[in-house]
Amino acid sequence: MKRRQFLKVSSGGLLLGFVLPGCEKPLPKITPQPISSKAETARFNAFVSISGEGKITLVVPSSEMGQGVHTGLAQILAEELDADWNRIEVVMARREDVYKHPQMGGMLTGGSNSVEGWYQPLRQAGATARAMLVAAAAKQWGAPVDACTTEAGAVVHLKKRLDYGALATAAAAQTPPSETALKDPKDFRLIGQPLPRLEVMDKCTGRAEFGIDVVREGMVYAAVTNGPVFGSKLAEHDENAAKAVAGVLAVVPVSGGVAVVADSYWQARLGLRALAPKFEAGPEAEVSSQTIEAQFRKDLAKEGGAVIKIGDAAKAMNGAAQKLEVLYQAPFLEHATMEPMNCTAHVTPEKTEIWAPTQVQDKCAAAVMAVTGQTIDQVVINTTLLGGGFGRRLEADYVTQATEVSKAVEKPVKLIWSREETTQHGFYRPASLCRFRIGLDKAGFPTAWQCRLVGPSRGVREDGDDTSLTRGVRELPYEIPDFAFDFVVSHTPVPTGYWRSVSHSHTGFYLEGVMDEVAHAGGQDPLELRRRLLQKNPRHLAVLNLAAEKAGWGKGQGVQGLAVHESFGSIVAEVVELSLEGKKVKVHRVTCAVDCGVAINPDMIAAQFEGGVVFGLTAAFYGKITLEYGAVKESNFHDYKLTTMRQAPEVEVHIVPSSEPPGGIGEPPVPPLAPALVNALFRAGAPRIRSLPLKDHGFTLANL
Amino acid sequence: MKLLVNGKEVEVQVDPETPLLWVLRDTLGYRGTKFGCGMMLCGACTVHLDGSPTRTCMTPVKMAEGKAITTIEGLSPDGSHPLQRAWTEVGVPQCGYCQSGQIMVAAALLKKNPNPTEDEIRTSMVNLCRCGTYQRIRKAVSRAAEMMRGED
Repeated sequence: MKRRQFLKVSSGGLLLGFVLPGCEKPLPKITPQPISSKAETARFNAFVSISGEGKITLVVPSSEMGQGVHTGLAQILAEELDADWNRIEVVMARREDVYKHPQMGGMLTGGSNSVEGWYQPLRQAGATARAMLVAAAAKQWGAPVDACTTEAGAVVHLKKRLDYGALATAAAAQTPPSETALKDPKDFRLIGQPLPRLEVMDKCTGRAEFGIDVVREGMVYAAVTNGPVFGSKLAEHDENAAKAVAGVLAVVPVSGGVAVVADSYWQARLGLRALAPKFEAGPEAEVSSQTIEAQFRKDLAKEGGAVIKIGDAAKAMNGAAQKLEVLYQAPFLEHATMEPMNCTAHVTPEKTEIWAPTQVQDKCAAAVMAVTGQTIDQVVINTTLLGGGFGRRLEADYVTQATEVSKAVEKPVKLIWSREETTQHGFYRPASLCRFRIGLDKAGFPTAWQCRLVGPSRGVREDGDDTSLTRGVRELPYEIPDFAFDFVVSHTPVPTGYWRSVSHSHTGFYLEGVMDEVAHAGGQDPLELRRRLLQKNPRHLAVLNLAAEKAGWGKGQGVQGLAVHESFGSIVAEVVELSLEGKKVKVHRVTCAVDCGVAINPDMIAAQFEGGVVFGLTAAFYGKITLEYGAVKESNFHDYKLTTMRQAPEVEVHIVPSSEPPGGIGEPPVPPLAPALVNALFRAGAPRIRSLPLKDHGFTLANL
Repeated sequence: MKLLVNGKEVEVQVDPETPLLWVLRDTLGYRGTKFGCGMMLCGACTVHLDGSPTRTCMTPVKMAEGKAITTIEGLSPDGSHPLQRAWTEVGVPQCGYCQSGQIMVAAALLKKNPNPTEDEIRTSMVNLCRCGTYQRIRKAVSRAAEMMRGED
């Protein structure tokens, strides 16, 4: 009996009752290895190789961290190549210039833009290989190229048929055509389909290889303690005590801390404990969450950069019938990838090879070159599967450390951070403060809008902007005639980085929270107000309306709050439905609508929403990194909590059918969750909440 | 010491206090069981000891002597366990790092309770998932239970 897969995804009714191809057959396996250089495998370009038996190797240039990019990019390649989906194998690309992301200037996976950036280039790569196969077949048959077509892995002419495998060598030897026609999207048979994740079975059997699973011959293990206070330096440590522990081979100072090397990870951990390292801290030890907040509040009085002025907001404020002045804030957040930080490095005089669950291959190479003094041609960067990335693995700090240790001990080294080290030595989502001064007219509509954001920056542009802080509140989708924005940089010693949805993780909360305040102040329904102000943004309107309709907004469904936000090329609206008993919050359901342009794989999209909502819920209720005496207080999952199975709501996802260029999907689900949640809480009778996490306001996320 | 892992008897030379997790991974090469937190808070390190789901990151290996240890690798030789088939059908894993532990907890649940309600699934599936695959885990556990009851 054929299995039918019913998905809770609707996009014009296309997907209900869809039978997944190849469901009863063994799924193609992903092995993160370099392309084989066997003579019988013909290489068409950096992305497509075909063996004499017709096995198609697709090289994907993006890291797989659960977002489904290996499958999605393979769908794009295989579509234009017209490959047999059951005969493909996907491999992760090694770091090479040809795999630099077309828009990002380096080989990396982030910004939810793998599909967006690679869509056209990979279509071209697949189409080019297909054209070469057709040309080779046509030549062999003496037939006109125009009279040949392809059918999932073979070239066809009248009753003749040649498998891609049979043609591969001859085809790949040709000069690739400079231009190739791409398929008409209406002819897509793979793109748009909810094909199963290619590496799913490996992830169900323990066969999937993550960074922490890498094993090399002669490998030793390293455990690390990083200086607790940011910027602190290694001081006393008992090297003899460490070396007295069974299995310990060496003690190696590394950038940021000290490593103990042993013949197993556990012995290295015991060695670290015996080492008992102490660190000397500088003035950073005076920093705390309180001093940072006080500093931000003080800096609110400064004039910032990244200025935007539309109309005359100050003048319009003076004339406003009603004025609102509110302060929003959000804390530092750590990524909490389930796989802790780790890297395996092997430094030899001739070359250095690393294996890491990384999102940022070029930066890893630069880190290795800095430690070893080797050139780029001597450095090999292998990327494994990632047990979560969320932007944390856009850093190469642990790669530097692994390379330093391997260089010192002259062996391959697998360096693993504990959960405590991972939590306390992150590159955090920056904390920030946001002041809104909003003027409403007599009819209750916002006409004057002044916004100042205060927060730390890793590096501002010439105009004083740092898009990883300001995007999402610096430009509004809403029509406001008099608008002013500026951004005040307020430095702290806390290392900051890119946390899933980056600036939007806080600006989404600020903007969509204050929009509801504006609605309430003006006596408007939150949906109606947004509809009115989004008249010039039909895609936003469509998404908002779809979410509201599917959630049953205004139909006595339950207590609901909504939010709409655009990020990384996609527009998302979410409606959170909850019930409140005292301070206990039950989140029953979250209804999501998204316009992400062309949807490559609707099942992966749905999964990113299901997961992104849970991710957002965790941040909203629990997410907070506290600084005490210059160090992070939180350490493990008991004090840096994650949403559990018992608390997790049902998530429904609705995709707006679109043929626009593809937008992102990994990050866009996160920003609307927190504001929709606090908006719903307000509706439930809770006070207006302008800072996160909710636990600081006494709220608990209750079991369902 | 002698250990019985996935039906095979093996001899290991390790400090008896070494957590079972690291013996399985580093000494014996069963790397499907994962290290998530080291404090028994997340469950990524879950295996069965005599059929009982056990978090191995803090369980000294000496406590596993004389018990049957089953890791994710031992659930089936080829991914054919109903849970693995259901997990694949529903498309549960995202990053996949926690899924070995999730499946081991589910396997123990279904052995004890072949027809769990949604509430029973919610209560038993205590492992953490950072990617938030909980909704699909629920569906897949129900689906596997269906398969195991022969309601295909």
